[in-house]
Amino acid sequence: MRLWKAFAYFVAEAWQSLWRSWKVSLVAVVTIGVSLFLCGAFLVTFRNLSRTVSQWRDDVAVVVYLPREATPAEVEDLRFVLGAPVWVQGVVEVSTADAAHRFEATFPGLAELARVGEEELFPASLEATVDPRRIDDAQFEEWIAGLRLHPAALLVDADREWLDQLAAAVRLVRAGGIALGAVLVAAAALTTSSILRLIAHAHREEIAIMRLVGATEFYIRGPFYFEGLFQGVAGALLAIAGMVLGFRALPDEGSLVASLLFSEPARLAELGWVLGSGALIGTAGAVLSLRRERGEPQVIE
Amino acid sequence: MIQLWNVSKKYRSGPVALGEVSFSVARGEFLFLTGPSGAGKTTLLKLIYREELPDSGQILVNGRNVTSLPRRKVPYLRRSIGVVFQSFRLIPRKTVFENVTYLPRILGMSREEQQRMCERALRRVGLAHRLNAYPRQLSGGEQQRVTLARALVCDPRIILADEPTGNLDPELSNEILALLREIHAQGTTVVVATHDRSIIESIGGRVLLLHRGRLVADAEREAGPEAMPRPAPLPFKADFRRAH
Repeated sequence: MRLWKAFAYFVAEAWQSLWRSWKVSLVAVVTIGVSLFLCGAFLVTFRNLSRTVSQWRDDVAVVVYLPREATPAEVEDLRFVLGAPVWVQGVVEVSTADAAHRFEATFPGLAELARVGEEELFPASLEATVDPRRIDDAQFEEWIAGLRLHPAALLVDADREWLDQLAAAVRLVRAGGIALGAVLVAAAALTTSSILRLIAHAHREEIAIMRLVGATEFYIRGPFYFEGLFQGVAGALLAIAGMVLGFRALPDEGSLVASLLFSEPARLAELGWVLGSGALIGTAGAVLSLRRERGEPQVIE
Repeated sequence: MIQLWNVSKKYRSGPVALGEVSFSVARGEFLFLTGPSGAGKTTLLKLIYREELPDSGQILVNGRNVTSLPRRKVPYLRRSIGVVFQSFRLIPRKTVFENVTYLPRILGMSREEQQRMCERALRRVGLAHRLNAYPRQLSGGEQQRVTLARALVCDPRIILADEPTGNLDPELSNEILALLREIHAQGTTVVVATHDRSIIESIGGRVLLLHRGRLVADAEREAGPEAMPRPAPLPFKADFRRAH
């Protein structure tokens, strides 16, 4: 039998079977859909989170706040120490007036606060912009510790410290997400497998007749593989619809969490990944459902 | 066409199903396989179409050694054998056309070819007008004729019928037997397993008698109740007489 004819037959039989047993097929489709939606949503939010953290790490700066009593010589020495490492791209001095302006620009609603009293609310500082790619971790830690001991340093604020903690947390989330995703995908594949076994059981008499008249295993199993594939693809499309519509349903003015996690919708490649995974889960379910039968030559009574 | 040498078969939990059975069936022969329930008739047929494998012995079908046939080649053996069961085994949700055309469909024939072959097979069994009927719309005799049409659709060299009249009244049984005779007259080898003595008496022909898994007689028998069997000189001849 020509291959394309066989595939046409598989597609037609699988399609018919899907309609004939649409209720159980729907269970498989929804299970795959929900699992893939959760995996896909996790993929997108994780990617957004990773990107944000990565951007923050790229913009890392070390700010040394200066005490009012610091002498110009001490400040100059601090500037030298701050600018010495290879990973420092430049050092900028921020005066108390500049700091107040920044505050007003960032928090316009609180601008009045910056002008209360005669004393200067914001200390002057030296800001070092850092190239994170050139950082040597051990030397960086040593450098920060040295800055903290400098007589002209009131407070040293190194973004990198908490960003490293955030990155570690992100890695933990990723590991948890991968484990959860694996469980969900396995559950979806097993559900599909069980449903296809049910369908195969319902068709056992027909399968027996087909074997009796001389159908090959390829010909008998083909429709089931395609049915699993269709269920997987339908589940994936459901998940994709959920991801696209779910993103659109998010409010425009988001909170910090929303801007962290949902700053960008699912990319085409990610949707492709979901679709491919659906096809794979469905086919894997079909293979699993028919695997046990492989070793049994007797199917007729 | 079919040759068995010292074929034995025993199921895991049960007595010997077949013990040291040897016989051959020539091309175009009509053969009855008879004996009481549990004699091994169905097992013998299953061995011929490779539904079961013997524990020992050799089976040749159409020149192919069935016992050493790789599993992937079994479908090709079965395409040359038509099998008919007592229980019809038609798929209720499929039409007569769909039930009959399983093999042409498997062979990748076009819809027109399937239609032509189905009509021809149904004509042979006198059911050409029920092409689009569902099995539930047919009588028992008609359903068995559809089963025969399914077995005949690709002109197999061998027809194996396992108690083909078991679910039918005498009149319908005669119809089916007449059809089997007609199929045989067109050159097909036919093996009918039955425990019904009246069927054998009505037609006559070569009769193999099985008893407790052993071949106890191989005889040519004339049609009619008075005609005595002429068993070949095999052991357990007395059993054959007792059974008839």
